[in-house]
Amino acid sequence: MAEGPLGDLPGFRPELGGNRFDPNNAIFVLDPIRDKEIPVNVRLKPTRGQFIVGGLAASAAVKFASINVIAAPKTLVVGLNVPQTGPYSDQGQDQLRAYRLAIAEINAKGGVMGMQIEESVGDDQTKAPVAVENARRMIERDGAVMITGGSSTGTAIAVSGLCQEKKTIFMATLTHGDETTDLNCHYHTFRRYNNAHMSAQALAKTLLAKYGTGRWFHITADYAWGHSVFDNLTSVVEPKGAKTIANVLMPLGTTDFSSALSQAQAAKPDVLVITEFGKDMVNALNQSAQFGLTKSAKILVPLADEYMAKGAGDNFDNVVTTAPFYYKYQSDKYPEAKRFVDAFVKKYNSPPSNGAECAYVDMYQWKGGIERAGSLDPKAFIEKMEGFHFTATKGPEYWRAWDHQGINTVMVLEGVPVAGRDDPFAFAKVLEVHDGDAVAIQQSTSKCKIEDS
Amino acid sequence: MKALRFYALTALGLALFPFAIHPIGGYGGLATQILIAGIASIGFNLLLGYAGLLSYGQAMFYGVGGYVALLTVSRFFPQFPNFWLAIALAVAFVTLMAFVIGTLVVRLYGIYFALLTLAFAQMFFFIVFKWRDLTQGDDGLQGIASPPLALGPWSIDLTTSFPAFDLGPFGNLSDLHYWYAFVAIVMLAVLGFMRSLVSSQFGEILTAIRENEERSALVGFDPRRYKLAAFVIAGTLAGLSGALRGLYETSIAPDALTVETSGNFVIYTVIGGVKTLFGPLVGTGLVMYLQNVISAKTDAWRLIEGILFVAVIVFLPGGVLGTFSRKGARTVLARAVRVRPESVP
Repeated sequence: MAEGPLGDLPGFRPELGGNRFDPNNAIFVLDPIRDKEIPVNVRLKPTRGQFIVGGLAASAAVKFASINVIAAPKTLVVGLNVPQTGPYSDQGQDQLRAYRLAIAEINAKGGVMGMQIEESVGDDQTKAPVAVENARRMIERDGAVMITGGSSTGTAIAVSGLCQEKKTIFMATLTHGDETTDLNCHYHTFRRYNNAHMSAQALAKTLLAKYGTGRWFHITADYAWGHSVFDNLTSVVEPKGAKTIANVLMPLGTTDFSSALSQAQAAKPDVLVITEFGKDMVNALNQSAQFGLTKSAKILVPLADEYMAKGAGDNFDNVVTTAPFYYKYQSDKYPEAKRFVDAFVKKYNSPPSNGAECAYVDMYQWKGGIERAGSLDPKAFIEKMEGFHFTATKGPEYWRAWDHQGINTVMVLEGVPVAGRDDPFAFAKVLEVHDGDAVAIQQSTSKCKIEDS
Repeated sequence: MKALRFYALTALGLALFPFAIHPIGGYGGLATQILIAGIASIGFNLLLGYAGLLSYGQAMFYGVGGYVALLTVSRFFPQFPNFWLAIALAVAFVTLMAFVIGTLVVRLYGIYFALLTLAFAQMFFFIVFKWRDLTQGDDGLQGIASPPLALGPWSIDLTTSFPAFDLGPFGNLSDLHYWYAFVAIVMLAVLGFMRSLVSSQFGEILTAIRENEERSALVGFDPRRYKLAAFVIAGTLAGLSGALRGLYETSIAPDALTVETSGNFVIYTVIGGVKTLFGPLVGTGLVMYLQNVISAKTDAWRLIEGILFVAVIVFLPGGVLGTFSRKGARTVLARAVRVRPESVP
């Protein structure tokens, strides 16, 4: 076997059966067209007949780098598709920081299977068409093997659809609406962030204990996520006797909430639920304070992060919310969380928001999946991800096989006043931590029918 | 002979276009999107450049065209998904819509015309935004695969790539999908149509109306009828563009009907050069290229985009093509496509 043209080549590994690209043993050949060196492995089943034919082909391949070889790039392109402008830009930019931290760390340690990660960045502006356009550019032009990002369920489900069509892995990061892994679940999409169902179930006890069953007034972001949160919350509290008196839907990117808030003021609710995110939530909450609603009603914000709490300042005092991660809490408990938070603070001088944590872990999860699969083939990757248990920044967690939802803890938090924060981001105290399995959507009620490929 | 040269050069240009932009960061998908949006811009140019009507409502035709096309596939005739039917229904609906709205708005001039078209566009935006049962509101219609293109005995899946053929720095032939070829043919037809339209009597009268409406009316041309015709043609082309965009992207969201989208068509046309046949297409290409390629390079892409717009409007008031042809520094392309003597703006 070691004789002949193939046996002499360092990259030829008959024991691999020729089915696998092995970057450690790749031969680097000059691609005359692109005028740069590319690593190749000879793909051959070393049976005798094929050996001869393939030997000729591979000799030609070494010369022309085009026939019967798998050419793999030295770098792997990943698409980072996050809002850098618009209402969710704080969250998007923080995710981008986390992605870049993870990529820098991974590259410094030798990359993914020996290949360096290269980023292709797009500003999705929290608009579905722009997000899809970006993802298309990343896949078609830059050859991205994985797309990640999203600070909105609207953009996430749109990109998820495209990635399914393109058979490209999509690691959806900050998307909280159920749809992403429920009605619009796709084979190529994974979402680790908690969803609205998990948040609502986790909140159930606190809602009744702290907010009671009175008259509830909702201000809801008018897109997939807002509707999802509203449905989940009302299905928890209405059976217990809470009365929903109104649900005012506001378009994404609303800056003036006075029309909704004057209705709320007139309705005199016991509870005001602000299902808004990013700068929208900050505006809505701060304007509620101007309307006197933070004093006359109990405020509930079903999902928040560090940037929102910072923007809302004292108005976030005593507000109950949920979050999948809170750097103060997890970094005291889990060494991996502490390492991440310290590295993030060191690099960027501010602690990571919960979206950033998810972005960071998603990048490592993708790397791990690729390495376990030993291949860039999406199917092999997905098979290695489904049902995979791991411990990262939040204790034990896993990827559920039938809907690709990450099952991990959900925290119920309560805001503290600015005077009680030891840094501007330390916005809350932890009331409860729920096990993911206990609050997640069950298969029997899920609308997810995932594709076979 | 002139017509033959026009079609040959245009076809050549369209064939080379996606490869020409490859070295500067363009790609097949972007080329396809530029041509699709270009159809609406070319239609809009008839309105702005020739009839002198600044419509701020092209997005309603564009967006509704997209929604009707995708709803035809997913809701109206799901058991009979047909590409041509989707396009035909979208175009027919938008044409009717443009006719009804046009009848109401062509009575008005200047800012009143612009505002009324804007008001109609906002009305359609809110209908689409609020009619959740049909349009799924802000989330839009997602993941509606385009039916194959039935062409006689053949059924062509437009998402198929061309065979691989390495073109060196110009990418690979397989970067392109059949979609591009289809859209390029549509573009060629639209350009040909527009070329003969503006050099016909209709185009001349439209220009005459723009320059002096009273005088045109006195010599016997009803300005409203001509303006309505221009409005309907522009609307129809916007609808065609929207339908193609929806089928190509397999999704559409209410963003397609926003003021921003209407404004984009104005910007595309003005940047490229009003009253030039290729100007709107060039403007569309330039702006979309910037949005797409620069935004991937830097967070400050909006700033760069803004500075460039200001620079073009201050230094090239006739638009990119318009300015070059006026200064006499005419490119082969501009000379080939000039359809009538320039009028002083």
